Amino acid sequence: MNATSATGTGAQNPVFKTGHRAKAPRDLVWRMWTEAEHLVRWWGAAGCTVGKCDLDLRVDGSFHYQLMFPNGMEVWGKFVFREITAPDRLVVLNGFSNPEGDFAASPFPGDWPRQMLTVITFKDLGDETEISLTSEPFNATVAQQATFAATMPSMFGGWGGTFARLDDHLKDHAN
Amino acid sequence: MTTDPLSETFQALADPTRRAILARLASGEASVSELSEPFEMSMPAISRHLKVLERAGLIERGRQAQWRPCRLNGEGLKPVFDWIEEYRRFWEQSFDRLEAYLEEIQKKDASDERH
Repeated sequence: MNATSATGTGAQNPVFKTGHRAKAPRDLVWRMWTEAEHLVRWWGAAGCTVGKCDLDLRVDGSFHYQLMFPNGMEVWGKFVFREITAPDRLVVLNGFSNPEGDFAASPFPGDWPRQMLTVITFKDLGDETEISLTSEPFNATVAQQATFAATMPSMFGGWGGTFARLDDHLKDHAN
Repeated sequence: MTTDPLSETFQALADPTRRAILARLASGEASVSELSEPFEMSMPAISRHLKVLERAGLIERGRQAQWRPCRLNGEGLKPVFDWIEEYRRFWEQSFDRLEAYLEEIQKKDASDERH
């Protein structure tokens, strides 16, 4: 097979995509992602705070962190850096971990991939920076891969159209 | 055999033909014969896949004796979508916090320069 994704794992694998246009120059945005004093100020979902953390910014080094949620739940997670190309590209393995720093199963119910291979790119737009992010399961079981594949918009031909109808259907069943 | 309903969902989704059947049903209900055409499979083979999907709660079958249309069961798929939505939410909320923090430190830098 000739076609492979950017991560070399095969173009047939569905990939999760998201992104953000940051209102800051690229060098500053890069520092936010690679310096612990900045990373702890924004990493995590709304209302989260980073407790203990340890950043070792080098290939095979890691960012290991304790995340406190507003509801009192505490989880540990980590990134392992696979590629660091300042100031435009980071490749990391990310997932939940234990307090000792080993990757661990998700604390949430279900058989989810333990590690995601995530590529973050930073495009220089002058005063702004385009952050693009892709993620795919890494070393996942067939069932975990399938679960992930089934959640991808490509499976249902995009989030619009038929998929929007499915969303409505889900809402109807929510109550 | 598995008793955990989520495991049963994952097993059902592990097969590419069954995922393709779900994708087809996302555009509307279909009969077994309609489903068997694009897959070049016999109707009994398709029926076996449909039984797995039905048992996992991913599809529903109509009650008419002859033409039992299959349709997606959104509720069965919900736990699967919830997970990826949670992952998306995590990143998007982190980006929002990054934006707020960037604004804060750029303001601070600007005022530092004035002093």
